Amino acid sequence: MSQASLAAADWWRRSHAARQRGLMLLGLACLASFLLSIAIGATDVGIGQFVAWLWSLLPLGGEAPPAGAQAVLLQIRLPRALAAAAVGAALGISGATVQGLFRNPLADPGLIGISGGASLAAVAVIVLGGSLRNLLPEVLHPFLLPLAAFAGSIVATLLVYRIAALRDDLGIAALLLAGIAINAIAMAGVGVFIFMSNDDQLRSLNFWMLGSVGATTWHTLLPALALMLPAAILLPRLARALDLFSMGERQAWLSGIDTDRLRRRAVILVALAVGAAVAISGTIGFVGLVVPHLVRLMLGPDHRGVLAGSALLGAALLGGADILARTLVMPAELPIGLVTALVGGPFFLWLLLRRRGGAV
Amino acid sequence: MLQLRQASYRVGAATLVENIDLALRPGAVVALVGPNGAGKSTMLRLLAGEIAPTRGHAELDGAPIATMDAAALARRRAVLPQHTATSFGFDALAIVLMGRHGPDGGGAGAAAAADALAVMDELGVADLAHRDIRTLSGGEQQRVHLARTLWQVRAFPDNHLLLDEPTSSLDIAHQFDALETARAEARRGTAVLVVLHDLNLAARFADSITVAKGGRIVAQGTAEAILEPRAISDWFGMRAVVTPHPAEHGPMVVFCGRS
Repeated sequence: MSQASLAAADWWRRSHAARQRGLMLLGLACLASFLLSIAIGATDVGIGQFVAWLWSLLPLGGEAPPAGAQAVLLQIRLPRALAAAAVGAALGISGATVQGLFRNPLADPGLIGISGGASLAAVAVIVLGGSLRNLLPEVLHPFLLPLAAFAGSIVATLLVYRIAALRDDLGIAALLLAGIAINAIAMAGVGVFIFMSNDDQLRSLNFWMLGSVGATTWHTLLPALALMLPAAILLPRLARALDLFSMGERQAWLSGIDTDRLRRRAVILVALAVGAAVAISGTIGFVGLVVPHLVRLMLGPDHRGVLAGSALLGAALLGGADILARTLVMPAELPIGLVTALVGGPFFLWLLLRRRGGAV
Repeated sequence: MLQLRQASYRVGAATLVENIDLALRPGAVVALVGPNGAGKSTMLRLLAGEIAPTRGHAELDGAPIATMDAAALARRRAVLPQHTATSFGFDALAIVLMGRHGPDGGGAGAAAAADALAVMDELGVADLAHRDIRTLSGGEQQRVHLARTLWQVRAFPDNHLLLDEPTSSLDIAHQFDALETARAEARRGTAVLVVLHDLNLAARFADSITVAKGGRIVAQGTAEAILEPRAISDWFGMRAVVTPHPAEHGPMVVFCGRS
């Protein structure tokens, strides 16, 4: 083997190892954020009691912490920490996928109609909720809002996808244009409901549209996790096809990628993951946009790093944002979307202005 | 063998190409020349399987191309479009490695990286291997993509290479290098089609020249057989003198002005 070939082989091994190291680091950050989420809160229950509780579950385990602490950990902190991590991971990996699909680092899952559809359905439930509730059995009442948000996101996404399929000669641009139109229509519908709403409804509307993971219970969390699972398993498998997509849809197809299938899979998986995320947390901005950027800066553009890394970093950051949301103005809480926008917005501007002449 | 038989392609009322007979045979370089709007790119897209003829046949070894999926096609032909814009900052070597993912999931691993770099070396772009593709000049990018296409085509025997104006952004030395590489690839048994604007490059590097005009093929043959002043004037609207090349074998075309 020549000198140059040896150098290339070495480059491959080094970049592979660097990616593994980077992902490991992000995994640790994710774990740290998760544990902090469990340890920090309004009541005086800490990480020690969490560890003691876990330990007590083992066959050789010691004494369990008091029932009150157990309840706080099991019914409040744990579902909330899991929700923040899951929503962050879903938004991160979906953002990375959509940016790869649209070949645009400014793309966001909202582009394909997801957030518009979810918002419209959720707002409709909040404003018309009274009359809707009477039609449903009482056990379903707590699920009404998340179910509606999820259904809204899926319906909007499918609509966007069907419309785009009618103009498949436009390729990915059709998806973008249909998404913009459906989003605009959905937001007009949201405006109508806001106009119809009373003060009380307006408050809960606001809170939902700014996002929160505070209301998470196991009942709402578990179905959402189940819906995110396919994305977590299948989206990373699209990594190399998305790499080829960066040369354009035509070149990707010429190089042997079934671009129709890739687009269909990516859109469905993203719609499931983000629909489920929006259903339990409302709309949370900036995570899907900023996280893939940070991961690309850290690990390079290869989607084998970007997809997994965005899931991990999204989970870590949203966990951190939730800690801020519930501690900054204790005993009250900030909407988590406010925190991500307040931190994410300026940070994004910094990214933009950081390096004149460099790529975004 | 990749071929069009009596193939036509229509969009709405417009006929882009009509009754095309064009065959690519192993070991030979076919140059496709013609004025702008002659239908050269449409013929290339028909051969690549990107579009199916609205009438007539596009076939690979006698079977219709339209029935093959993207991955199967990528095992039998590689295509270099006129221009490829990359949206993220991949290294040039990573771009070349992408050439084998579509066909068979290859293009990963240390051995593949070494192999891909060797192909980059043939095209004189090995020293650009670790540069962000977007920071390279147009000509450098074109050579990197040519290396990617070449690496793809070499993954399978009996393959076809379709190059759409591969020399458009290249300086003269690199034009010669690129076409020399295409010819050497043909000598290894690959069937090569190359769309060109320069008749002298076509005469020098192609085994046969196909001339397209107005969506039809108006001449097919060796440079010696088809390049003569009256025909060139008909095809391109240019007065030309055809002389034997002073230093090399074959004819040379000198343009004098519009006819």
